[in-house]
Amino acid sequence: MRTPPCGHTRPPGRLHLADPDLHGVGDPHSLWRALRRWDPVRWQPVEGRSGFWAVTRYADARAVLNDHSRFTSTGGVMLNMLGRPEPAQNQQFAASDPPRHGLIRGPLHHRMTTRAVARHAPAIRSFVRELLRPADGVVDFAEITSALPLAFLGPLMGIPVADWPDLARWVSMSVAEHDPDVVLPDGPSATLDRGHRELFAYLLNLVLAHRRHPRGDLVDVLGAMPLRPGAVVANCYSLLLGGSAAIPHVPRATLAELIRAGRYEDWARQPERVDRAVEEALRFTSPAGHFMRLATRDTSVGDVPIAAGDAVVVWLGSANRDESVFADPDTLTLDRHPNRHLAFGDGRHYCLGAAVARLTLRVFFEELFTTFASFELAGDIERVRSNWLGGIKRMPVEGRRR
Amino acid sequence: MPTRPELEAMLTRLWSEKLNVTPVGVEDNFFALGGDSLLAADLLMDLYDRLGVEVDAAVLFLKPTIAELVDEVLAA
Repeated sequence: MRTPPCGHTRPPGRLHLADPDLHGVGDPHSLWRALRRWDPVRWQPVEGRSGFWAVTRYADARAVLNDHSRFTSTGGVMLNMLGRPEPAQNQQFAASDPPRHGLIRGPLHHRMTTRAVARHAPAIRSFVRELLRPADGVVDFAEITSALPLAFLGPLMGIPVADWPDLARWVSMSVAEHDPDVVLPDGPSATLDRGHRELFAYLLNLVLAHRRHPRGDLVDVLGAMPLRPGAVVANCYSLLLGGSAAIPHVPRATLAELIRAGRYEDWARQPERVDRAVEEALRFTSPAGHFMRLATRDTSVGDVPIAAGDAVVVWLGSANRDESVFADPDTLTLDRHPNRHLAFGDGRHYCLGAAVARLTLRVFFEELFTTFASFELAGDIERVRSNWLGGIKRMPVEGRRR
Repeated sequence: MPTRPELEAMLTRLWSEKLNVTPVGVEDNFFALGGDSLLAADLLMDLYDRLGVEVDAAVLFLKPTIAELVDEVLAA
């Protein structure tokens, strides 16, 4: 049993970081701000499942993510795995520590460097142009951007566009199992299992298709590794979830804020600063909300003692608004430089797809800024109800073409 | 192609071995017996390699009993 350390001033209210409503309809940023100030490493009990340490400051987040010997990924890396056994432990790069982690990640990373993914740029650009083509009159910008991951998942994994509607739903069930759009009558836990199994079945079929007709892509790279079939599929699952769940939320929440603050025209006028725009959009939106680790031994974060076995959850959305690192952190601005945000995580588990995500976002913003002179909101924005995925699921807008 | 009883016997043996559980009944749910998604993928791949038939992976993941799986193998 854990008890919170003495001498800590609690932030006001009884807000719970694992509560999907905090992220869906509440204000996680004001809670994070209070926690960073008053209780930066806070014990958060979870009903029926012990609890976790919530880490909200930038420096502490980096310390945890960079020390895999004290904080292991092998017990699962998302809160929905808290208290559940992680079947992919040591078999999936996301759920492994070095050196095992590097054996699986290394050959994949070789195909995912900035240089290696550059050859996909023309295909990504034509895909993005197609996405933006129907964006006339009032449209749901969330729907327009939903298929954005396919710009690279097609070339990198051989996933056909026609499969996307099903996959998008299963991905949502697997990362946002509390959201009313996807939750099954049997509840969030059943939703998570179902989404997960649908994706595993789909990916096993994909692995078999690659065995018959190799494409020279990431699925073939995994298939050629000395891994059991279940591990090949589990790593495909990591690639698919990592590649698809978060990225559409970057342009959505960025455009929403640009419209709110009246800055869209300003950003669109400065295409030469698009690389800065991408980094600031990533920092500001941080759609991958947290990563979990388990303490391997009695240790501490900041000056707070952590016991061996305790879950430690790093809140990236909070670290990226840490006022001691980012001046005026709640403002979305092209002037921010340097911008060492943690939207892709940090340490050995730094997002494998960061280079292709940056390329895709750069192309997306370039095409958006070139095609549209302005945007207006045309209805209410709805956010995702999830404690992992921070983002928008409905966003009616009206764009004026140039 | 093996007969239904032969397939059932083979699958029962295979499940017992992978899950380390005995006995396994043809109506038992793979996940309720302690199976996970990685084991299910191993099992299906094993089945493809032994029998040379490909059943839709969704069968084991979504209707996870030996009876359902045998239906699919015989129909394939």
